[in-house]
Amino acid sequence: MTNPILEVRNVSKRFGGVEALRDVSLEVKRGSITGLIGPNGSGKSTLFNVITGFYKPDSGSVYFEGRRIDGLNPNEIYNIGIARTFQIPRLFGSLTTLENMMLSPRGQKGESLLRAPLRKAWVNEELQIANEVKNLLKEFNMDGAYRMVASSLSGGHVKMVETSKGILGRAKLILLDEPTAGVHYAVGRSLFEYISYLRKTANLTFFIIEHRIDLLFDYVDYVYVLHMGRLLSQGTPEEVASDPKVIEAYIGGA
Amino acid sequence: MFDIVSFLVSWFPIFSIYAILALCLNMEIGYTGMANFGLVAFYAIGAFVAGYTSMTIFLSFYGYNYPIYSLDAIITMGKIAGRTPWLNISVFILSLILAFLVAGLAGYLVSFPTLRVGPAFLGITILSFGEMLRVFMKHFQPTGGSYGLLGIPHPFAWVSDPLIKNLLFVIVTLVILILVFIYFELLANSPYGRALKSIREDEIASLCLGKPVPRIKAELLFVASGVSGIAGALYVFYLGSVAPDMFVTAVTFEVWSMVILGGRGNNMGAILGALIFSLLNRATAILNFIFLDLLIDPNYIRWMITGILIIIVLMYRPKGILAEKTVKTDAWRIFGEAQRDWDRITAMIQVANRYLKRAFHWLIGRETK
Amino acid sequence: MEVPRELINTTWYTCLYSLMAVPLTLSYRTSKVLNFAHGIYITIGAYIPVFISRGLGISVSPIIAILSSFTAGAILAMVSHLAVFSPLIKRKATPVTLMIASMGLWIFIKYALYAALSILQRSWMTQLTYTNPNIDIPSSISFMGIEINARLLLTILLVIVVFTLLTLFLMKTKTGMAIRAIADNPELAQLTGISREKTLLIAWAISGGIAAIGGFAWSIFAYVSPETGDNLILQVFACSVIGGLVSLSITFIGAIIISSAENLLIILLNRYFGVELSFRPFLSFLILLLTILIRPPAGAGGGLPYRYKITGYISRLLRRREENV
Ligand SMILES: Nc1ncnc2c1ncn2[C@@H]1O[C@H](COP(=O)(O)OP(=O)(O)O)[C@@H](O)[C@H]1O
Ligand SMILES: [Mg+2]
Repeated sequence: MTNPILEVRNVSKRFGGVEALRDVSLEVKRGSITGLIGPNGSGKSTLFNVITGFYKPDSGSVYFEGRRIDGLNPNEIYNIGIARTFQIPRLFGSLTTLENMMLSPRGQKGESLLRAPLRKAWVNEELQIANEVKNLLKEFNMDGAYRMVASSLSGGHVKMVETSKGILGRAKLILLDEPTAGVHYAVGRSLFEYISYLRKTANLTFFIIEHRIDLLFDYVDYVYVLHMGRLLSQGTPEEVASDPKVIEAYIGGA
Repeated sequence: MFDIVSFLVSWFPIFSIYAILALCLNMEIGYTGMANFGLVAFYAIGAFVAGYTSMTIFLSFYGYNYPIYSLDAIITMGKIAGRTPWLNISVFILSLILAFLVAGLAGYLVSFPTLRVGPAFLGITILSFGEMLRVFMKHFQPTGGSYGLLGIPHPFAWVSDPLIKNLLFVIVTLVILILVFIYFELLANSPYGRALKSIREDEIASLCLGKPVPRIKAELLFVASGVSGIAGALYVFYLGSVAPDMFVTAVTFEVWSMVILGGRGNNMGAILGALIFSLLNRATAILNFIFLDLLIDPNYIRWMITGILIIIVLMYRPKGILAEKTVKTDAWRIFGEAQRDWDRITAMIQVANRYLKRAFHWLIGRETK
Repeated sequence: MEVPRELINTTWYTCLYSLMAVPLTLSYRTSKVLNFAHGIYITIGAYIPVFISRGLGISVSPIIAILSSFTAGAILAMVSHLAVFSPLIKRKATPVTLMIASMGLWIFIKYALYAALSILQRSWMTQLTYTNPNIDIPSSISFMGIEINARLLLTILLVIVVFTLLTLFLMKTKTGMAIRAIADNPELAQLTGISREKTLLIAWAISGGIAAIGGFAWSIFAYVSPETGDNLILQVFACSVIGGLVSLSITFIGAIIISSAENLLIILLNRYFGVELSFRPFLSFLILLLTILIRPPAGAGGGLPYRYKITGYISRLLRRREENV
């Protein structure tokens, strides 16, 4: 299938005097890994926040699988299949890693008031999710961290747990906001390896903000470049890397 | 000199009523982070619903049509309360159910305006709600205005020996306390309990993980307020009377201190807190009784100690006596963690189930295999 | 000329509520502590003139009473901050924890006051739990041939003076500007070298002091009891909620709204709909609820950062019901 899973049409968003997004339109193809890059403050995180219902766009619209989703509440957007991670991770500080990760999968049976006291109703699902968590932790070499309280994790681990939460959400589209910031380079690479493995096996779509452009470009199919809230350029990694406007924006911005 | 049975009879129902309230508040503040400063309102609603229902049913059953708050009604109740055991019991059960439903509904409705606002506004709104309800009940004639209701039929009024009557009531409150405890433990140690804790930690992040935060809060306020209503009903049947001024804000604060001292987010802690404060309560009552003409009312001292204790606990031991535990679900088994707490509860339920079956079979006159 | 009684009451309560609610908003805005002990500052303010007049057996001049009430309230608020709130904030306590702590403080001071009153009652041999101070004010003064209630005049003057001084202080002085800076952006204020601790302390002193002056204003009209402040807290909260716990001037408008509702609206409702006068507090509560529903004070009290769409919530509930049918 080549039809876009996510479509952003002419979205604008201002914060007081700051124009964080200005008439941004883009598409994410189903089953792709799409990148979103741009200098700091160019509006990347704001775009994610608009897509996930965290902010309401001033104008423009967002479509997911052909359905208009801007204006829905964040929990509704999550439940139709868009998971996101935060640039500054928002883990539940006094819960353990395991509990943090177990919270991700959407539509858990045991999360209803009536079924919760009936262990039989949710125990199988619970065991299955716990298994997934265990495998994921092993994948990221964090086996022992499951019983650590989230507020006592190291910075890199926090970031990995945040990313794992995005992956575990049983979403169709996963938005990752700088997943490898503060993470060791080799770990970052294995994270991207895992992402492209998931894309192939689980038919997931990824939309990733990333500052390590060298790393990102090895794995993405398509890249969008934001600059001062506007879409500056788009294309395959090669096209973008050779676009003079992009080079200028990065050098000019630095 | 010290009569253990009469102490038990007078202390235990109060303890279990407070323990139930503390468990409810613990679900709200300890698990979900909802600062319910108006707990007393739901307690009061339960109390008035129980008082109103039982008086009305009794009087109309015996064909009297006095207003339920009139002197005639009180005198009549004294005569008819012990005549029909089945009526007492069924009115008691019905009152508990109605108290749960009405108080729960009130909690659900109160949650509505506060879905979107932060803890400070929730605190103000619910606190005001509690105060307003008390003022309202003072002017509400059908439940006797500021004098309230008297002569509410004890569920075991038909038992002639007062000691046995009171012991039966102790057993009933104990059973209800255990049931509430088990229910809340089951709720807390489930994916639902985990979602509750995520709301307490960071409600926005929880919302972004698809948890319907406002709905969960409303549901929880329904359940916890409803159970507080049951506690109110028990209190009314224990005292035999109900009046608006029994439900001042200080009661809410007393329950808060139990939860803070015992340990937020730990149901055993809530019960421990209730135990400590209800004993402290008794001690001041005894002091008051022994030294009739004290310069300072021991109650003032007790309240001062309570206030200071809260601040000290918050500063030096914010987790309380019993610290919070992780959410015990089967997920830990995958990681090879022992499930002791969980297993204990399951075992408890199985035992209770067995006894219930046996009691049922005995009632219908059949042998248990 | 006869001024209607209702109008006088409205003015009077506007003065009282504004003196009590504006400092609550100020303290919340600067320290982010919702202080349930606020009512007790009011009570103490009302009791200080009683203590002076009964203790010395004299009638106090209003100036001395006002100043001593202010001082007592300010000291109490500063002690609250230094002993309770500041250490808790340093320990990274959540807003809820701070609220609980303020409740502990409230209970402690209130019953300490009760205890003190019962000792003083014995030694002074007078009734103190339901009393009024002996303050040296004539009941009315003649002004160009018009008889004016001197107590009301004093209260109105007090409100004008207090709020003029407060505005000047916040707008013109360095400390006042520091208070506003801390309220609006604590991190930034810290960076610019404002001492947070000192500024907060002054803000607390001012809010405790003004609340205590509100208590004094109450005591020259009505009886004083240890419950005085608590009995007014619902109305005071409602005024502050109208101000969103942020805006001092809207809180003042809130005081006007609440006192009009309790003194004018209730009369109308009574006359035309037969609503009982005792239903006064419900109007305040209703206004509080409406404020939260119609204009949820986003941001100020934490909570969801945007407006969670309740309409969406309702329509989804309805839709679910339809699906079930
Ligand atoms: N909640 C907010 N309030 C005010 N300004 C904001 C807010 N969020 C983002 N901004 C502003 O919007 C611009 C874009 O920010 P952001 O999307 O975080 O950039 P990026 O993620 O690309 O680094 C920045 O100038 C930032 O200051
Ligand atoms: Mg960003």
